[in-house]
Formats: sequence, structure tokens, C-alpha cells
Amino acid sequence: MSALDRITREASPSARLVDRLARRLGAVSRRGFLARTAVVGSALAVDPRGYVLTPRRAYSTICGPANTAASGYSVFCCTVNKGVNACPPGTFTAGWWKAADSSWCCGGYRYFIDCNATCVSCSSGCAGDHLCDRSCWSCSCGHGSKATCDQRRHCCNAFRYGQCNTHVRCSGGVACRVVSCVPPYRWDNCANVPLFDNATAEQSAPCLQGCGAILRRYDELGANGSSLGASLGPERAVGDGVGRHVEYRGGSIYWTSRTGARAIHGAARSAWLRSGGPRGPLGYPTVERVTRPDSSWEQRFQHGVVCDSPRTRTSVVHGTVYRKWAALGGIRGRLGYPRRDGTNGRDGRGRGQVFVGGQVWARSGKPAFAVTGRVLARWLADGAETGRWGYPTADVRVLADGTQRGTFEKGTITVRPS
Amino acid sequence: MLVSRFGLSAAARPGWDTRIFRRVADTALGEVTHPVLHACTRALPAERGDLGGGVVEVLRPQDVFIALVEFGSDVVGHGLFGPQGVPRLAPSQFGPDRLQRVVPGRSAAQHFFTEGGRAFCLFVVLGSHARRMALVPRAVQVVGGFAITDRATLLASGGMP
Repeated sequence: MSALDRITREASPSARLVDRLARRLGAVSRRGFLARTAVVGSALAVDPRGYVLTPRRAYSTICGPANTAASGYSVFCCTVNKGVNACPPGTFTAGWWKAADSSWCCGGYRYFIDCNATCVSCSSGCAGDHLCDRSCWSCSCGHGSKATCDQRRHCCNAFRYGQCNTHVRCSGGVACRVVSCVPPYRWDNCANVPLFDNATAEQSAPCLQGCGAILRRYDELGANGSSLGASLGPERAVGDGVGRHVEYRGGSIYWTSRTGARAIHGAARSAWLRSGGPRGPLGYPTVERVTRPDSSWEQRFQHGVVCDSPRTRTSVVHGTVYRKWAALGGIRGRLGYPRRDGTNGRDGRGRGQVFVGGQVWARSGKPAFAVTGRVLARWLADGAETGRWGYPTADVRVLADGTQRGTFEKGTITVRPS
Repeated sequence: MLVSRFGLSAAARPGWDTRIFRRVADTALGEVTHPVLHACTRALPAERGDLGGGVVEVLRPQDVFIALVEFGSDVVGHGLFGPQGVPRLAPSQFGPDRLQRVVPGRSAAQHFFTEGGRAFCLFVVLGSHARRMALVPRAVQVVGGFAITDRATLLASGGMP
């Protein structure tokens, strides 16, 4: 449910406030009152009270106060860095300050990290103080695009906060600002010496993620310093009415009300996206990747798993095959890790998957069964699912005398101990 | 009369509001705070940034704001903090874009330096760039009245590190 949906359906204080104000304007529904721009939902998610009480555009609500070039503040890096909340090429982290009670950090501290230009073409001016002449800077003065409400100054302000990368004695001015809810000395080369300026607490940009379960998980993982790295844009809806996600340089975090916010990255993410992502057969991640001492790992999803081990390749297991495999113990059971992704039967009547300890096959719409041991060898030799025996109709059983017996559509394979 | 705390002191001058403070560190986050000295020809608002946020915006053309902000001992004498001694201010160092937030009419200068084994940033804002020739000498006079106790003496007397 979107923020707009919530506020138009719920009897929350925000919704009651909107109702009162809508009535004041005449016969306008709560939703009609609110849905005037495409970004109202985001504005309400960020600052419902501020948006409704203060006459301003929703976009301005997202960007917060002082969002023009004339305001004198520096632009957010994501605005001028293709959405990435990190220092652009040619700049470096030069200092930081913190602002208290920021709604963008769920009421906590918000950290602003200046990315300063480097002196690229010359070093004149460095003898006088810590700033080279403007003509030497790696960027030139401008402002955020008119396509965004963050039209603050880009590469204009000749200033340095001074707690980061202090080995750089001389630099250009502030190119842009990175933000985080985790102190920068935990993820960049910055000193743990805070400077304060609460005036900037609510300043932001449409390309930054806001408070929510995804941000909380990102922060728990270490935010910019985690393997996820910098965000590539704001929180977005998946489009299925269920999930939301934020993309990062090193992965993603997906959230639903059922699964919570879960990070996914690396080979697990690649395999998941290859199989269709959240709208594919696996659904949303329910946990994060678990790695074992032997470097094998798995990540579970609503309807399956992605896993890998040193002796196999990254594979997806889902559907009826997954249910059978999981019932037999999954990676710890007799089947062990999958050797590759599942495949459709050559006759198109079912689906199967190869594991280290056997195979699992299922006809379409029917349960899956495991084929293992010497029965598997015989079944494969006889043409597998399109051969003499067809698909399995029961798991291979090992009898008390060691005999292995597998039941198939067209008969039973019995292999006695040699 | 002197305003003196944390090994920093400044002459209390008529028409100047001078404060020396040290914010409470969030030790749970591993932060370390250091002393900050503010001097201004206007009354300093209770809510203000360490580098003048909330003050610079309300300066009148004849006003001056000065911040002396200490940094950690690990940066003393190196790189950005390599310059030794309290800098001598000059009108030529001031510019209207030398602020973290550019405010029309204002002018500022910023210096990082080491003095007495302690690392500092001196940030001076003038209410009017056009009046810098008159205002900078006032700032020079005030900064000249600053005294910084050296780190060794401060530690020996049980002062803050």
C-alpha cells in the first residue's frame, strides 16, 4: 500500500488532518486533495504534516528547505552523480557534519559528507591556504538540473569541514554532499570528530532513500560501508503491489510486509534476477545469504533457494522440486547441493534438477520424486524421463537387504546389492 | 577580562558575545568532541552550528563572526593541519563564496593550522564583503586576543586531551 493509499484510507492523525484541510477547500475528497502531483505519495511518506500544513509543492517537500541555488547550500551528490549517493569521480570526502532529529534518518542523526573537488590542472593558491584557485578545480560552478527540485549549488562553495582525508592539504571547494544515517568515520577515511549544524536536517533530494524498513536494514549492515555500498536511487515499488526495493552499487534490499527487508547481492542476486527476481518463481528473499566455513552458501526465498558450494555452480531450486529437496534435508540431506539450475524435461511434460547426490523430477502438476543411487544410473542409461521408464512416481527406496527400488510411470527398477 | 575554558581563552570585548564550549560526545557512537570558540558582534543564538550555521544568516553588514574549532590530536602538524601558528588574517583572503552556505553579501576566510600541539580551524565571516577593509582589522584584533594553552601543559594540568 502506498503512502498515498495509506493516508487516504486510514484514520491516522495525518489522514484526519488532510480531511479537515480538504473540507476547508470545499467538496474535495481526501485523495483528490492529495493526488495533485506524481510525487505527492513520496512527499507524504517523507513529511506528511509538513507537506499538508505548509503551502508548497510536493517536490519541494522531498527536497526540503533551501533547495534552490540561491539558498547557498551545496547540491546532493546523487543529483549530479547519476543517482549515486557517493562522491563523483574527481572529488574526495573532505569533511562532515551531523544534524539531529532528521526524519530522513527516522528521527536520528543524519550525516552530511562533503565531497570536495581536487586540484587537477594546477595548484596555484595552495600557498595561501588549503584551497587551490577555482581555475584548478576538477569541476566548475553550476547547480542541480531543473529536472529536479535539488537545484542547490554544484562545485561553487570554497569551503572545507576538514575531518576527512586530511593528508590532502590543498583541494578545490565543495562539489556536492553525500548523506548517511551511519557516521562516515565508520565507512570512509574520516575522523570521529563531529561538527554540528541542525539547519540541514530536512534537506534532501528525490534520488535519496528515506526512512523505512529498507533504510533501517541498510544501516544495520553498515550503510555506505557495507558490501552494498552507495545507493543508486530512492526506494521504489516493485510494481506488484507487494514489494519495495532500493538498488545499491553492490546489491539490493527488497522488502515486503511478509518477508521484511532483506539484502541480496553477488551471485545470489544474479541468479535470482536471472530466474525472474521478485516476480519469478522464487519470490522475495526471506533471509540473507548464509555462508559456511567451506565457502558454500545459500539464500532462501519465499518459494525456493539459491545456493552454491566449492564443487558446484550457483543454482536456483524452486517449485515442486524445491519442496521435495527441502523435505529430504536440502543441502544437508542425501541430495546435497544442486549442480545446476533445473531444466524442463525433453518431452516438455515435467521438470527436473541434478543434485550432487541424485536427481529430482516431477511431471507438470504432480509431486516431485528423488531418483538416487544405482537406480538413477540404470534410469539414466535407459533414457531418463523420455526413455524406457518415464518420470518417477515415488522416491527410490532402499530395502532392508540393501535392494534399491524406484517406481516410474512405466514400471519399477529394482537393483539388488552386488 | 578573559573568557577561558578547555585551554582556550579570549579577551571579552564590549559588543562581542564570546563563548567557549565543548559538545557532549555520543560515546556510544565512538565520537570525540573538542572545544569550540565562538565570538560574534551579535548575540549568539542558542541553536547554532559549530561553523556558524544559524549565525551567519543573521549577521548585519557591520557584524563579524569568528569560530575557532579544535580537531583531534592525530592530525596535528600534518597535511591540512601542517601550517604552524595562528594565521594572520588579511582582507585579500576573504571571498563571498568561502562559506559552507553562501549568503548574499557575506564574506569569509578559513584556515587550518596547528598551534601548541593542537589542531584548529579558524573560520571568520564578515557581514559584508564590501566592508571587508574595515571589518577584517576588527577580526584581527579579536583573534590576536586568543590564547591557546599548549597540549603538554594542558595534559599536565589534567585538562582535556
